Amino acid sequence: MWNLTLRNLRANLARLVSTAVAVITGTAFVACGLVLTQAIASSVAGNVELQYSAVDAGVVSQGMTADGPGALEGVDAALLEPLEALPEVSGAAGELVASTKLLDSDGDALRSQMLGRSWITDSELNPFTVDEGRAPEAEGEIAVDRGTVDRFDISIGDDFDLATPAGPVEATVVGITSFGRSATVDGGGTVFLSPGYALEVLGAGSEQYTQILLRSDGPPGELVAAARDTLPTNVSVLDGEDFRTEATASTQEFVSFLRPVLLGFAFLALFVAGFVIYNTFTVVVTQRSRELALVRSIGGTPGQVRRSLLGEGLLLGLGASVIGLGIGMALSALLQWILQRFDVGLPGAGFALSGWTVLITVGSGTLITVVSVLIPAFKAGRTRPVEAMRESAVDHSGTSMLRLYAGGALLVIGVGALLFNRFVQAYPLLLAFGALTLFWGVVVGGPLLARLFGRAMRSLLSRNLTGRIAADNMVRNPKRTATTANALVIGLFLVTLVTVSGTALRDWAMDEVAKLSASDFLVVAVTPIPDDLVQAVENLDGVTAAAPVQTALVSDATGVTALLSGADIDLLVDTMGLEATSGSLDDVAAGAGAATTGFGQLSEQRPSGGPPGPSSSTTEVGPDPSEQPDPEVDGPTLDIGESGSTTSQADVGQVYLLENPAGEIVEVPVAAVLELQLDTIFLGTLVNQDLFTEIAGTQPVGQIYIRADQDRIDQVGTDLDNIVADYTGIEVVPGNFIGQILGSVIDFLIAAINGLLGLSVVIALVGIVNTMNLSIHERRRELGMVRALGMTVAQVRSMVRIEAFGIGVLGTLIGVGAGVFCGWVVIGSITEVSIPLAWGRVGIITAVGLLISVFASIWPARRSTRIDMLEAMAST
Amino acid sequence: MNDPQPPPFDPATLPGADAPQHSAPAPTQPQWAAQVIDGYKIYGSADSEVRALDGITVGFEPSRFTAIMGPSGSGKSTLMQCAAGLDRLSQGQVFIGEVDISTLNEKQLTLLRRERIGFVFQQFNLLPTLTAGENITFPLDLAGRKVDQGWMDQVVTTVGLADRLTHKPSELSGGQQQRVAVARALVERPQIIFADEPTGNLDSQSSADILHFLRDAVDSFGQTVVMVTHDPVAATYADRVLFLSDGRLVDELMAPTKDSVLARMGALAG
Ligand SMILES: Nc1ncnc2c1ncn2[C@@H]1O[C@H](COP(=O)(O)OP(=O)(O)OP(=O)(O)O)[C@@H](O)[C@H]1O
Ligand SMILES: [Mg+2]
Repeated sequence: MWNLTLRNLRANLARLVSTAVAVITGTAFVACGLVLTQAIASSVAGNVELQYSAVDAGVVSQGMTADGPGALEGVDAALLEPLEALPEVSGAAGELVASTKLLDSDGDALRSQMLGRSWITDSELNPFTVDEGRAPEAEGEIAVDRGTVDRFDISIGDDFDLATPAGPVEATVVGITSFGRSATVDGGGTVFLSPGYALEVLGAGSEQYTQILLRSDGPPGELVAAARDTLPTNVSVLDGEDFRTEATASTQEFVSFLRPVLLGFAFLALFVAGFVIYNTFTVVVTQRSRELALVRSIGGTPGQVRRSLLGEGLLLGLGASVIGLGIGMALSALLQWILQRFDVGLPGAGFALSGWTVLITVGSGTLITVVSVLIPAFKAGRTRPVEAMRESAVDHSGTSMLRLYAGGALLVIGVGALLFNRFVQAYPLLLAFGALTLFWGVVVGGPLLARLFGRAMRSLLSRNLTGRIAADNMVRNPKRTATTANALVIGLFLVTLVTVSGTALRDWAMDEVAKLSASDFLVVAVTPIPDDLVQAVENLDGVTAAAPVQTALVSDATGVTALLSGADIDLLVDTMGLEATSGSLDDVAAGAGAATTGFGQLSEQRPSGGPPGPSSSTTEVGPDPSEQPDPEVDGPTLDIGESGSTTSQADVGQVYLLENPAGEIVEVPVAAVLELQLDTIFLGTLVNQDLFTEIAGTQPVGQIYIRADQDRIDQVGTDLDNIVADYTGIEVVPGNFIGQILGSVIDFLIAAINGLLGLSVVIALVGIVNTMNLSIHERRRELGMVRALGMTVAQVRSMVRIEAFGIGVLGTLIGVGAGVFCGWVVIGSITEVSIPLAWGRVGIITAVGLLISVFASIWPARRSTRIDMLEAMAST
Repeated sequence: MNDPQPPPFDPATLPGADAPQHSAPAPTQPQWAAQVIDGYKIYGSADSEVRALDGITVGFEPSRFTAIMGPSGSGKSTLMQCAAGLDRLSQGQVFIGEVDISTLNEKQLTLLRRERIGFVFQQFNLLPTLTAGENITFPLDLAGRKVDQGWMDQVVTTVGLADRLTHKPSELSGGQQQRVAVARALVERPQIIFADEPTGNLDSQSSADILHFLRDAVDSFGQTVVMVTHDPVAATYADRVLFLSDGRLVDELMAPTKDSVLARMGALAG
């Protein structure tokens, strides 16, 4: 039987190649996703291992352990000295990292994502090495990584302007560095500054390190304990292991988010490929029914016939998957290269091919192929010799009544459930159920829909002979037509659904957000805002009021950390229109207590000031400063806490117990609850300046809220942008910024998802071409005959084109139609407010579907007239 | 989508197509409905060439029934295909009426087949998705020509298909399917009908019916028919029988009878 299998594969090569394309596309994507995520994960882990290999203990701010690194809140630089003095400490270094840009002579950044790092003088703790020149030692000296040096042709001795958190500075390149075998750890390049200089320009005078690294020649446990004893409670000491785990956490999170998303789409593509494979083999079986019957009449058992076909599927699946794997790896390399070109360094570019990747890719590709071949193979085994000897290209098997009823029933139930969801009561589960049922209804009832569509098309084209025949041909085998169209349906259905509901979600969210914002501009920073900048903003023409806000992370008695802001309350009321829902802002202004939004609030203490109740465990940590809008990094996350607002409702009369730098507890009663508006979220817990100093000491300004002259608002925006341009890590955010960011993030997501879904649409295109070519092959005698009778080449082609186009239109109509319908129901469940459907985008998707259909019709039409008329008629 | 309308052939120039006539051809008409002059059809390359037609010259008289016979592989189908414009000669000329088809391009040839030639094949004659009626008018529909309903009724009644017109081919017997094919050939009133073993797959009764219709078309409507056959009985329906061997015309018989045909064939084989 293997012999037969091999010969069949060879005989049907052209046909199988196009089937293989479907499998290859799917598996290539699976492989690419796996390789890419794996590469990111392992190279980051590897880099971190290398970067911090000598670290036996790390000292970080408590805020940092909560939700990833917070740049604003670091570790007091003054803590380094006592640590160095400890006998357990053999080496210590403060590490400071902040965004920094090398500027060219025009003042434009050479690379957009560069980082500035303090040079670590302890050679064991420092993973970087100086290749040429020397390490930066004084003010105005920098070392630059080899990658940047090579790319921009920099030499030692070159002078540069730098944009830094402290504003523009000038510096001279004194050294070139590398990191192990690569240039650096930072995808966008690294600039090194001497420790003192780094504190000045990277820290912008905050006198804080991002973290402190310690190493010991003795037992690490003793080091951690000794450091712990020396340090205040608002910093944490992690042992080497934990420290490295923390350092990789955010990347691991990114990978664990990215991987299922990429793979989800890859498997969807494979699923669609399954339809194409199923269809091809069904046709191959029909076409070969005579041959198969012959095999049976000369003694082949049904089992043998079946095994031969399954063998074909197995070989095809295996071969195509292996090719897919190779292409996927090439694809991921290409993708990394492209991203590198655009300076979007994926964290740690690398290339990793694990056994798992091979197994999953080849396994899934092969499995889906074999499964798709099962049904046709089973049917082939059942073919009775007599049946097969009857020569006809028409499917007489018909569609079973059961299938039609089942399909119809599923369609009705699905539509019903969705309508109920829209008009009566929205349940997410019912929505999912309805959408799934509708989908299966389309799949099962496909032949019914195909037949109805064919009939409609026939009456539409009744005056045109070729069109009429094409319409008839389309429903000659409704099952095949339906399966072919369904491959397109899946892709377009999802694209439409994502687009329609995503667009609605975007509009709705932007609208909601717009209602919330109050101040005209907000200057936010991940580094302290220097005083001269604050003054420049206050004095700017057109600014009617500007309220600088000091921020700090504070911990309460239970160890929960949250954001505390201090400002002139009256000024803040002027700029952002603060209002209290309960309590009085005047009390807050007078220093009688704090105002809070309920977001990022501290743990509640009973008025008695007794020990924290059980509710304290449900309090949440405030918005981490790192989540403040930094347009360069990512959009702000509007984290409307999972548990927070209901379980720990802020209320006037509650008392917060906060720890001041001296380690004493300060009692702060809640004097007002703020009305929710967008920018209040960034305030956390608000107190007046005096109280702030009492709790958190002197802290730099972290935000400035600005009210502008409404007539000059655009000019003010431009001016503000110009003022902060020389400072890295400081951004001007328009009041409606979050809405815009949210809008563009959602738009980006829609585009990204649709790009990925587009893959399945392309596979569907292959499917249509495939089916048409098979149909043409089946009907070649007939095509020869009509040409003998005088059908011109143009007529034959137009006949085939109409049929292929018809299949595409069928798939497009069903897919887009079902997508719009489901999307409309989804919109209904987002909000009561009526949001118009994105008909423009639906139109574009439909146009794409039709375009695909046109493409799908070109090749088969050509092919249809390439067959030799006489040969076709002579063949029996 | 677009049914290219061919420049219609002027019916007046079509001998035998303008009026049903079986009397002696008028003097203005060419002597042959179709003609192959010094035709060669060579397959394969120089060292292994097969001469399917080897310098054959033959003409088919209008309003006559001509049968072509000969051993298997003698070139009958090749001759017919070349004469009907389905294939081109390697060398030589083919005339349909006065048109030299070797001067026509592919499209003109297709239109010529559509307008002037009718076909009946041995099998796979019909489009399975069309009804019998639609199959019969198919060439006319292709050309966008109007169906002459009276003529259509006459043809359909003659071949006995009046009550089967709405049936699909799969619902018809093999003999009925061939009758549909004959009706299709007749209904367009072609200048000449070519039939390659039209009764090859039929039992003797169905064969007799088909041959009877063809004969009738010649006698009653002045139709020109050329038929390839292996069956001596079928050949007796013809006015004239041509015998082929190795791609050449080797013999000819007028007013054939079963015995005379068998005798000639025996002579050829021997
Ligand atoms: N496409 C082709 N390629 C090569 N040789 C061919 C081709 N078509 C026909 N022949 C050869 O030309 C010769 C004549 O073939 P043709 O089909 O005309 O014979 P025939 O008289 O119709 O035979 P039969 O009675 O068996 O139908 C044969 O030797 C055949 O092998
Ligand atoms: Mg023959």
